[in-house]
Amino acid sequence: MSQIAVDSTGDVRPAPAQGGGTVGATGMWTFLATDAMGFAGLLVAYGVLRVRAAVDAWPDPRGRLALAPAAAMTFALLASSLTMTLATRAGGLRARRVWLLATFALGIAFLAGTAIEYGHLLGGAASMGLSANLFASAFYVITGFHALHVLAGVIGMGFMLGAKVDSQATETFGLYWHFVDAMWMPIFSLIYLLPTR
Amino acid sequence: MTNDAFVDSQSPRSGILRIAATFCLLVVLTIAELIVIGLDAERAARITALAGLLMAKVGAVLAFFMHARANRRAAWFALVAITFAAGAGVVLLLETAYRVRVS
Repeated sequence: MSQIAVDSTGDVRPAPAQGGGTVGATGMWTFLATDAMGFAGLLVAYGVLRVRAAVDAWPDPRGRLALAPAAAMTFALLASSLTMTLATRAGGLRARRVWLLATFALGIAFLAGTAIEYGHLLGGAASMGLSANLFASAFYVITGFHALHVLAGVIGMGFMLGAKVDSQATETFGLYWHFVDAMWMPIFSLIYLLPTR
Repeated sequence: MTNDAFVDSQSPRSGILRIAATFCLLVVLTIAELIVIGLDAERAARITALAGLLMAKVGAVLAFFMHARANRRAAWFALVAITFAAGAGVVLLLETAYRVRVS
């Protein structure tokens, strides 16, 4: 027999499964575990390529990538995690939708930043195409993989904004969104910040 | 009996304060990263500092935003993978620093 409980926001939700979380949250954690391995594989591949390249052969990312917009994108993702958490804790549907809308807007801002960055890198005299060098290939694959996760999250949030979601569904979805935020952190450090000299 | 796995037993006000503090911590750590790479310090030292800041940021998101403790069994499984992803970044950061030191 399934059990229900009332949380601090007043929503009725399924009782936690054995182990502390609900079935939905457990499923999401399991998905995130497999997805994290995908990110880990890409990051390891990037690291191996960089370590094996001659010191002078690897382009200085700070010379090719604009740090300020990337930092702004990072702050947008951090802020979106805050608004997602606030959506999770919101007391009613209206407040939850407002915070979800804010998260949605910040996700769109991040994607817009990525699109603008790609536009700058692909255009101009010193364009950096996908196959320009190993750094370019790794950069587009890793950031593109992450941007697809953000896009999936934004699409999911779009559906949630149009539906009558409860706090439990928001919490489960929030796990995914925080994960996307957490995975951006090693990408930002490894690709944008790691000094070559 | 409370069985709210994620919202904990804390009051709403203290919960909001904790969330805000976590966000501020993440912003500060990110600013620290940006400051570290601009420092006129040895490259290996900067990379080691970046690795430490990265671990702190990922740890803060996992602990305070994702409430990893609330869903222990599945979370531990995921935590190993996520830690592996972030850990790969940390190891590679340090490896790069080490490689420059010996060459």
